[in-house]
Amino acid sequence: MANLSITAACNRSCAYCFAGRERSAEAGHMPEETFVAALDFLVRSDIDEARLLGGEPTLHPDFVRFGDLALDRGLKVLVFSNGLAPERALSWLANAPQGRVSVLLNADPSESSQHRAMARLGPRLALGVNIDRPAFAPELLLDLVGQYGLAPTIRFGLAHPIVGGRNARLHPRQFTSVGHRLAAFAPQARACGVTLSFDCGFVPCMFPSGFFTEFGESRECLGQRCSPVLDILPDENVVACYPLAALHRERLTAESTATDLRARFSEHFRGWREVGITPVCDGCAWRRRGSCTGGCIATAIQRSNGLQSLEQSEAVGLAAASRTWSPRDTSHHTTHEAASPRRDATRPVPPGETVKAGRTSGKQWSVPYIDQPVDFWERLHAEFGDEIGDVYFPLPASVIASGRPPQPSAFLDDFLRRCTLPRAVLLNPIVLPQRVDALIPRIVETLRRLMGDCGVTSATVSSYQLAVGIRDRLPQLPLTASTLMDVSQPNQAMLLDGICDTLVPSSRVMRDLPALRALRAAFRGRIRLIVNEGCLSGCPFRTQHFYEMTSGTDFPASLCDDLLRRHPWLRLTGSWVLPQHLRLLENVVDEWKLAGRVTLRDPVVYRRTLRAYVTRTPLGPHEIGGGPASLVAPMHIEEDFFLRTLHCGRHCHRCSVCRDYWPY
Amino acid sequence: MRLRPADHVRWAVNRSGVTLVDMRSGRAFVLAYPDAAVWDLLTRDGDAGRLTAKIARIADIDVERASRLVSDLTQRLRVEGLLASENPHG
Repeated sequence: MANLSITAACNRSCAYCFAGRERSAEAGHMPEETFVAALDFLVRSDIDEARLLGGEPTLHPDFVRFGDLALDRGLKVLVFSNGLAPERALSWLANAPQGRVSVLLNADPSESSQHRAMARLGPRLALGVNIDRPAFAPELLLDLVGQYGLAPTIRFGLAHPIVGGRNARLHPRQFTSVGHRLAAFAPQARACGVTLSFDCGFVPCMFPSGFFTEFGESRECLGQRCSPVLDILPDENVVACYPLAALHRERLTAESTATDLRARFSEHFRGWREVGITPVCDGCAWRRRGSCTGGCIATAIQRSNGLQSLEQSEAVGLAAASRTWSPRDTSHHTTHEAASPRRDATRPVPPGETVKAGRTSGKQWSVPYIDQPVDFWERLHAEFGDEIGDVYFPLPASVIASGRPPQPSAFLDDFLRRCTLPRAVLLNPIVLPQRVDALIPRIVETLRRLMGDCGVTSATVSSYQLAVGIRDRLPQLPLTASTLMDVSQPNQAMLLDGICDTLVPSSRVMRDLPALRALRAAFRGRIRLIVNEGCLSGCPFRTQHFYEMTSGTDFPASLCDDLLRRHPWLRLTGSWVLPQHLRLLENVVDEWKLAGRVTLRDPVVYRRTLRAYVTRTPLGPHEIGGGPASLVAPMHIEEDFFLRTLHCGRHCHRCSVCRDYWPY
Repeated sequence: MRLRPADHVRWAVNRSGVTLVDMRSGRAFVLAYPDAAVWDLLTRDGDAGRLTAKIARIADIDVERASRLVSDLTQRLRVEGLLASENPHG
């Protein structure tokens, strides 16, 4: 098997697309002489099928001619298409010899324009789907198979990460959820006469034990599908697969055979086989028996440390093309004990992929839900794309309170069903209303539903006990320790090891650079910093304020009002960072969070504020949303002053810098 | 003497230790504990003296034994080209 990527052009922009920068305009269309050389390669390698890939292969201006050339060589043709094919290509596909040309359509049930190809191609066309979130609805595909008389098979793939790229991908923590969903779907498919097949990267442990009896394929077979498939690019370079394209390439020559190239790629990436896609892969019985190769290599690489510089990785990887391998060194093997997961590798911007002018360097934003129609979120998605890591929203108060007064939720259901941005749920009451044991079943049931039906991808939790309970029952759900957990010291951060994946530090240290550094050193997960929080560092009223908000009393006046009247300069010590000063905290933060479920309710203000932070457009402290101790009048904050407050340790009793700086 | 992972080394923490991958040669090295713990600390603070003191405290062993543990491992890793050293003053 080998894929011929005949064009970089595509007329869709799927968030999970594996092709990444191979889809850049420079890669262009494959010239005919390269295509002929690729056909020679297939014949020389005893491969009987030309698998045409893109981009969208039907957009190649010579697609029809290429198809004829492949048929003339006695090859079958399989086209991987998004279904949005030009008429000429569609006509050729519809009239090509039956049994020799087929199409695997990358289905998106919400994309009605794909139906044209389904209607025209009928049984020549099979559906495939790439799963990039635990909540997916394969049942819709059965309807399409029946409606258009499509080939009775559905091919499932997993969205794997592009090494060094930024595509949407399925995290291994979500694999079990996906496996169980597929297992539940298999009997329905069988009842409709539809068989399921699986692409690379699936691992046996993600499926429930009875699944393989039902499905008919052995676990062993499924767990060994991460071999170099070979993608021949338009420029005659060959890569093991798109996700690994940045690390190693070979050149297609007149002597190349698939066996030789596969051997070279296998050798190059063999070390990564030892790593596995999760920290527990090394103790896995499937793996010890040789029934699983440890999953997708790109996923394994993604969880390793320090792919900080793709340029460096490329240089190292490409230089290794001709080196030989030595056997695995296990001489240091001694006793085993548990290890904690480490911080995920950062996701650098690959060369050739430009950051939009003025944008942040790849750190994502967690942004608040405000009650707006789905159109608002789609516009936000279009404008900010991958810059938005998730949109967070509270669980209904009937399940657990959210640390804020009840908020409008007229559009929440629609948002959960239709929004294409990743969504995260908040469970952050300041105090739990019951014992965790009593609360947890209802919470877990709600979370399961949100993950399954609405694709919720993470949860933020304010209680350590609650986090432990959720982690035990839903290990696949990434957890964030809320700022309300009040973690400000390294010893506290250490307690979260293995429980929470992300930490939002306490407001005490949001503007304390040494303290943030210490937290980062102590915590193995990611640090997310709130940028527009307005609370005073260590505010004595904070707990009472949150209690009053959560308990349903009237929206309380800020309890710090009197304090701020007496010492107005304290507003300068609040826990906020202006867009123009984010860079001063860049090195201690992995991602940013915009607060403002209440203060940014106005959609115009919301977008303006988010845009300013993402593009680092200067704002005054009165313009950022913020909380009760925010500045309310315009004021220019000089960088020198702000920098000083990042290191001062809040010794306000013996310091007059902020008092002197206060202009009113 | 400060030690740090060589530029061409990537690693991932697993349940039973740490797996290092030499990106140049493709070789994988599996470090079980306590070697894995030494590697983990080394990646955070490459000062060999402080590293030894930390290991002694964490593992509750005497400094001499900790020093042997650290030096044995770092020697092996340097031979394999997995560690780089730098002089903080030079």
